[in-house]
Amino acid sequence: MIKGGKIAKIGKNLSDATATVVDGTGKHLSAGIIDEHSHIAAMSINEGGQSVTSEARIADNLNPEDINIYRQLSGGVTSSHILHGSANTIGGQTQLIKLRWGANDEDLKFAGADPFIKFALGENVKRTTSQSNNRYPDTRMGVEEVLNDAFDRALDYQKTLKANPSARRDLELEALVEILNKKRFITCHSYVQPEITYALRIGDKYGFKFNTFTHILEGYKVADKMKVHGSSASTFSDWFMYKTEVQDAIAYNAAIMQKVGLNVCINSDDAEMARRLNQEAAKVVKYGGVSEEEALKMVTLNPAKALHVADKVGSIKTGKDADVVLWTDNPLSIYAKVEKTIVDGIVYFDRTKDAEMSKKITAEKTRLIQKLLGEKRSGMPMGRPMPSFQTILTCGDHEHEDHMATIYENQNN
Amino acid sequence: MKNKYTSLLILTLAIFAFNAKAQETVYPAGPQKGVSAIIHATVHVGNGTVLTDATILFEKGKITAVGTGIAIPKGATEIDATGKQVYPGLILPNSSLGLKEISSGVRGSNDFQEIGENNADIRSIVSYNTDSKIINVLRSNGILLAHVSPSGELIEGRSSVVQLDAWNYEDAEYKSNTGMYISMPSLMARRGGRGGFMRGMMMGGGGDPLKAAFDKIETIKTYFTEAKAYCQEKVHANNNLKLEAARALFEGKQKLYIRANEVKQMLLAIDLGKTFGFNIVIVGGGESFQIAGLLAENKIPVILDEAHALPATEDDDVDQPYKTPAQLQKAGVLFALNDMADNTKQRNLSFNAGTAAAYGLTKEEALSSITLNAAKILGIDNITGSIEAGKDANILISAGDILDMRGNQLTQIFIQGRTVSLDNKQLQLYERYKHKYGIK
Repeated sequence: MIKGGKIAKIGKNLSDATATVVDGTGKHLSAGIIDEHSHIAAMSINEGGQSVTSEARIADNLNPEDINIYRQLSGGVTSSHILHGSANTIGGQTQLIKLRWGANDEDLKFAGADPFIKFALGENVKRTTSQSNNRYPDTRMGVEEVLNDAFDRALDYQKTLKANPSARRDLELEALVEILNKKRFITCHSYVQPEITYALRIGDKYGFKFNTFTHILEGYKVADKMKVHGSSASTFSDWFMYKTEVQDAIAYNAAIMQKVGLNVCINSDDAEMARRLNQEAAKVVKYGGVSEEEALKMVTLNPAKALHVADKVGSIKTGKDADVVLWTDNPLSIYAKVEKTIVDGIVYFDRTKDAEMSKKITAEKTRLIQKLLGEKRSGMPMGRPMPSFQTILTCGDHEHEDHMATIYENQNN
Repeated sequence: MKNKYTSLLILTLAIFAFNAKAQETVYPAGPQKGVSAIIHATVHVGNGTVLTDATILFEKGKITAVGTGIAIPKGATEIDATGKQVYPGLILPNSSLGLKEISSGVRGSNDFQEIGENNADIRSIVSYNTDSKIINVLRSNGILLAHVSPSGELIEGRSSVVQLDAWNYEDAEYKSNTGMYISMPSLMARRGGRGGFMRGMMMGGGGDPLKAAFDKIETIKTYFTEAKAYCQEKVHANNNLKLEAARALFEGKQKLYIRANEVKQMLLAIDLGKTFGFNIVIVGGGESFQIAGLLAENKIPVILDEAHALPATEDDDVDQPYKTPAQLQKAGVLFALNDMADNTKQRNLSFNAGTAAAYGLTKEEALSSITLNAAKILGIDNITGSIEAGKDANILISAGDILDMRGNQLTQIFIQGRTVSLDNKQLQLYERYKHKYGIK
């Protein structure tokens, strides 16, 4: 039973005279899917002009009209963590949103969530695909030193502020000071084992934790070290070979990390795949034999834990937000389709309603085309038809098939 | 929930651990010896029928009998498939497999795209690297054959079908020079922003992308007109490899594969096929659902590049790419599913089919779309694509439903009757780190 946007009661024979009843006979209900790594619903993603841009904030440039919000809802996603891209070592501040389709940018934000920031290591930071990179760093050696330098500067800044509270504020260093004081948390794009290790050591040295390693396709190689440090891992299920640093990426990564005892999430970094994160979780059953319950947690409760919001979302529990999904089948089945996606107790996606809206859109489109044709026949002046392209933002991390009316804007371009 | 496949997986992996090979020592299998019999199998034939408790006999690489109540010859190797699902080998109908190893940042590992507008004479097969680290991974997910095509600007070159268990490209070649590939220029006007205005400028046509596209279409037509004349000449003053390359097309021995996603591109493709009398195949087919009737009427087959895609436009139905296969099926279009996203997703071919089944195909239709339909389109259905007597023994045995992640767990695969290894680099690294952490 859902009341006031929260899960009020769970059990049999519950009743409330005012309740809207949804018949779930033969269907499955799961907690809403949480995507730890997404780039939807933003006007821009990469502030890659320099190596440290901790002052940049995704929160300032959300795009609540991005159709991908609705598309993710159709795949059962209820929260997405919108990350800065991976063009630089210390990227911008992230924004966790709830997929309240139709809300404005402020109302999309997940209230009360801890602030996070995106870091990135490896090839994207080194600008590997650029034919003429002249921005430091160009190697992993340099990337490590960018981190050391940034946190040394942050320590100095902290001292300066203590000595002189009216000193000029530096928003870049302020965000890093928040990390040092455990008030802001890192999700760090990374792949190969040496860079994971040096990140852990920098965390140890400056006394903070790398909260989450995201993508982390070689996490299986240093899962024991990550566990000691206390990091969560958020990975792709089965991507590999799209660049040098993922040659050793294996589909068994999530299973190994889970068996070593890490909090493991499966992320999308992809507006399309995010609609099938339930299937991505199912792959962890195939590759490595993780149980179905544990696999489903990798896209629900585990990302909620990694994002410090497990007290509010991630499972169906009394008192938590009513972010739930009604499926036609076991959500790990390839044959499962979303019937309803509910956020804060409000139905934001309903397959039946979607079909009705689709009919209306087709009718409206036909009407407009007929009107245009009519005007053409009557000799009105004509302009050239121009499609409205959608720009899909990504980390710049993988190849995409170009869809006809889509432009993928990679940081590599 | 206990995973019923876990114990089976452990058993399979134990066999690999025992052999402790590196990718380099995963050997291509030798020829089939004697007669093999898969017994007590649920056989998904590939043509829509399912046989239960059936027997499949194969010898010298060919299927000799399929059905129930078949006597097993003396001395046959028996493979008990009780409780398992048996399928024809999957066919990846369009790919850069073996040509493209590390797609981003390592130019030296890529041989899929030649420079220049007209490369009609180049052949993909000569670049096909049988030692690619990707091949064994695809194989362990049931892909036993792949159509390898060159990419390019306009006239791209010729393709071949390969089988995925070979020492070198000559061993791998399953059907040579299957077709010629061309890329139909886009007729969508572009302006502004990245990939927009500048792209238009680079296209030529004085910055008008539409004029640039029409100029390119004219280039294609001129090429085929000249090639036709050349192929009709008895004696040539000078030999011309590019014109000669089209001979098989005019003789009907080869198909013209046309990359096209937009309706207008597909209409031009149909027109091109009619003008020159070619058998054409649409590759891509993003908007094919809009002209399904027309495609069926003209008997134009379609290779759908990706079922797992975003809708092409904002006002397309949210699940459009998922249901496009069912719409083509309903209209009577011959189509095959593909996953063009190369290294990241190709191995998920069977799951693209699974999604298509969730959105309107029957499971057996979905299976046909990655087996028999692909074989028909590639012109190899006389030798593969289904489990029928007389065809090559390209067979998969799975613990469960291969269209679903929870069932897809291959236990044995056969290419031309040979027992092919399921091992690959990923499994080996899995073993290595299970060893490190003492994971059972």
